[in-house]
Parts: sequence; structure tokens; C-alpha cells
Amino acid sequence: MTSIKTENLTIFYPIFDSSSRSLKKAVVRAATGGKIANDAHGISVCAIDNISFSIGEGERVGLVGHNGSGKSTLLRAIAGVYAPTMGSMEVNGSIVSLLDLSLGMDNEFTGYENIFMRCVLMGIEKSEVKKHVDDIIEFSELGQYIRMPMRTYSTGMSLRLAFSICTTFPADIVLMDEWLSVGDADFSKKAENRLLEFINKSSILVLASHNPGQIEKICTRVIKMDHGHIIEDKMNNNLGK
Amino acid sequence: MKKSQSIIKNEITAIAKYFHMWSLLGWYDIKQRYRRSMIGPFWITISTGVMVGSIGLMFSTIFKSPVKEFLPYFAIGQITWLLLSAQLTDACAMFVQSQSIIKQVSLPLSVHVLRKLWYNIILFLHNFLIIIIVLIVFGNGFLWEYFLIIPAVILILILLFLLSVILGIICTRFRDITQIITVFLQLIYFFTPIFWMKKSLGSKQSWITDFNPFYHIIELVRSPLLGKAPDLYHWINLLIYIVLSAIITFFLIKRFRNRVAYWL
Repeated sequence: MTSIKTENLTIFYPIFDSSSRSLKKAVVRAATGGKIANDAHGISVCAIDNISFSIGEGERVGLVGHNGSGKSTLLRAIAGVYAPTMGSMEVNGSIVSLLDLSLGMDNEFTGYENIFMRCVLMGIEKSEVKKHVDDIIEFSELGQYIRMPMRTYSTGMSLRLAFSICTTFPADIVLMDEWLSVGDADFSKKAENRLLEFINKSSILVLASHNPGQIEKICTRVIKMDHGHIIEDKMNNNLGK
Repeated sequence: MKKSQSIIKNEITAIAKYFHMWSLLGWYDIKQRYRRSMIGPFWITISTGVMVGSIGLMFSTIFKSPVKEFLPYFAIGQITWLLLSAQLTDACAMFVQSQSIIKQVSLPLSVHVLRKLWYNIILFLHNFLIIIIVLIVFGNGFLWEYFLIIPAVILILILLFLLSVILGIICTRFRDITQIITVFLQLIYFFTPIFWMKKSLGSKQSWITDFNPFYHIIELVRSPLLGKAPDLYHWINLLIYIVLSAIITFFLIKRFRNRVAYWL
């Protein structure tokens, strides 16, 4: 049973290099960003402030809110990167996080080597990668370039490769920071279909986005965040319209 | 309590469970470093070989000790030292270097530690060729004592793993420690019998080596290769270091494992 459940989740970031109080004041004055707390251990930012929610199977959740409202931190907390400072976070199911598509890929390596490099960081065994490697190469449309170092690729080509790799192995929970769109017009149509198919294979999607149109098109539920709080949590009634 | 036990269990089982990950990452690090070079990592063999050969010959002249005796002694000590110092230096920066991974995927910290350790083991094996060549040229043929380096190297790797976790966690939080470790390693090199022999110290100064962990560790590799089983007290010293580091490692993992991502 795939699920995400949080109770009174609170996350404080320690800030180590801001010793001066004036900097602190400057940050507080800024319109965006989380609340700044000043405790005995120095300055820390409260990125997530006491939130509780649960996401069940089949839900497509859109996270909205301005920069620094805690969306990305929440995604990372779900991914298990940030352990709760207080409260709890319980996740059942495998996770694939599409926060940085080209994680671990290196320009000096060939596209082929990078497929293995990228996959291993998603926890996929070599033998499993080998089964899908042709499919990845074919979808990326890199052809002979796959045997060339990635530094010879254009930005679009690298992204296409990373995208093809990341959308090959489905997981129960998909985390995404902004809807992915890659490549030129032709490719991006093809990519859109693949991404939708990939998400359909998953059980939960959590998508942080600044694009309300995209969220309305995809998500069944919209959570609005502000300064680390959830200020609105509602079903998306416009879905499919 | 239960939670912290499972954190520690996770870190230990990761060694086997994530073997495919850390071995590939470590190997790709080597490949990356020597990309576009014809002989790849054998450059490290050559550069260490040149250094060991020239300094070995020079110091055997300065110290007036026979090359046949001094060169193997220096080569083995120096190459073991390179493994220790490279791993400890790298350990300080390894979590910072892997931060893009740590901040996106939840993985046991051991994976990042083993990646670096594996990288340094591969370099060590390339350097080990020099030891083999030196022993063929200057050694006394095959000796059964050689096999003693197998348990020695395994124990040393366990110690390096534990120390790397400790340094990795501390240096991620306090970045200055990295610089302190670098300076400390440079200094301790001169206080360790690597290019000089313990017998040249008077009995009054022998504490310099007795309290030096690096001396005991290096001796465990060096003396079997020079044909003499290491004294028991070197083994005991190493085991004590392992137990102490294991205690500190468990404490740090239990207490700070979850903080590392926040410190990056």
C-alpha cells in the first residue's frame, strides 16, 4: 500500500555562515523565504512549520506557493533526504525523485557510460540497466552520439538522454520539481507522452510547480504552501477541463 | 532507541546491499580522473615509482644505508602511507563532494564512504606493483610471511572505513577540520618511520613512534614484506584503534546521521 503520511512535520535548516545579525535582519526583511528562528544553536530557517497531511494511493498532488515557501524542502523530506526536525514522516513505497535529472552524469563520459552512472544512483542494478539500455538509447534519439563523450552534446541532447534514463524505471512514488519538458517541439510531444505514461505506472505523484495551468491539468489535489505552512489543501475540480 | 539501531544496521548492511553502487561509482571516479590518458591509472604507478626510486636512492646515500635494505623499506612504508593519507584526506571532503547526490537521494552514508575507499584501494593496488617489483629486485625470494599482509590490510581497511565516517561527519559540520587534518598529516609524515628507521632514534625518543598510530599500522604491512612477522603489540594497537573508532563511529552515526544532509 503506497502512502505518504506526515504528522506535525517541522524542518529547521541550520545556517552556519550567517554570523552577523545584520544579515539575519536582511533575510527577515525579504518578502520571500521561510521564517527565521534564532535559537541557542545559532540561526536556523524554519522551512516547514508543523504540517500534517497524508497522501494515499492514486493521488496526484500539486504543490504550489511562491519561492521559498517550502515546496522543495517538502519534496526532499519525502525523498528521505531531510529527516524531520520534529514530527514524523512516513513513506511506504519506492521513490524516484526527478529533482535533478542529470544527477551524477559526467561530461567526460560517453552517453552510454552515463546511462549506467545515472541508473546506479537510482539504485538500479547493472543487469537490469542492460535490459533497458537499447530502449533508452532509442528514445533519446542520440544514435551514434551515444558512444561519444557527453561534452560533445548540446544541452538539449544531454537533457534528452537524462530524461530517457529517468523515465525508464517506474516507481511507486514520483517526486518532481516543475513539470519536465525537454527538447524541441517534436521531441517534447513525445516526451510528454512518455512522462504521462511513466506517471500512470506510479501510484503517487507529488509535483511542485509555479505553473497553475500544469497543475490543473495533471493533479487531483492541490496543496498551497506559504512560509512553511499549508494554507490551502483542496481537490482539483478543474481536472481534465 | 530502536530507530537509531536500525540506522546503524542500515549503514552496515549497505556494504553488501549497495555493492553494485559504490564499486561502480569508485571505479568511474578512477576512469574520470584518467580519462583521455593512454595508460590511465598506471600513471599513479609511474609517479609513485619515480618518487620512491629517486628519494629511496638519495636517502640511502644520505643515511649511508645499503640500497638493498633501504629501498624496499622506504617503498613499502611510503606506499602504505599514501593509502592512509589519501583516504583520510579524501574522507574529509567526501560528503561535501557528493552533496548533489546526498541532497537528492536518500542513501546510507556508507555508500559515499565506500566509494572513496574503493577509489583509494584501486590506486593502492596500482602502487602495489612497485612493491612487487622492488621485492623481486631486492628481496630474498618468496616468503611465507608475505601472507600476513592479507589480514593486516583487511584490518587497516576496516579502520580506514571507520575513521572516514568519523572525519566525513565532523568535517562536513566543521569545515576547518579538513585543513587541520591536511596540516596534521603533513606533519605526522615526518614523525613516522617511513624514510628513516626506528633504530636511528635513541631509546629516549622512542615514544615518538610508540604513540604514533601510523607507525604501528605501517609496520603491520612493512615487516611481513621484509620477511619478519610483526610484533604482537602492533596487532593489539591496531585492534584497539578499530574498537575505539567503532565506538565513536556508532555514536556519531546514531546522533548525527540525519544531520549530514542539513550541513551541506
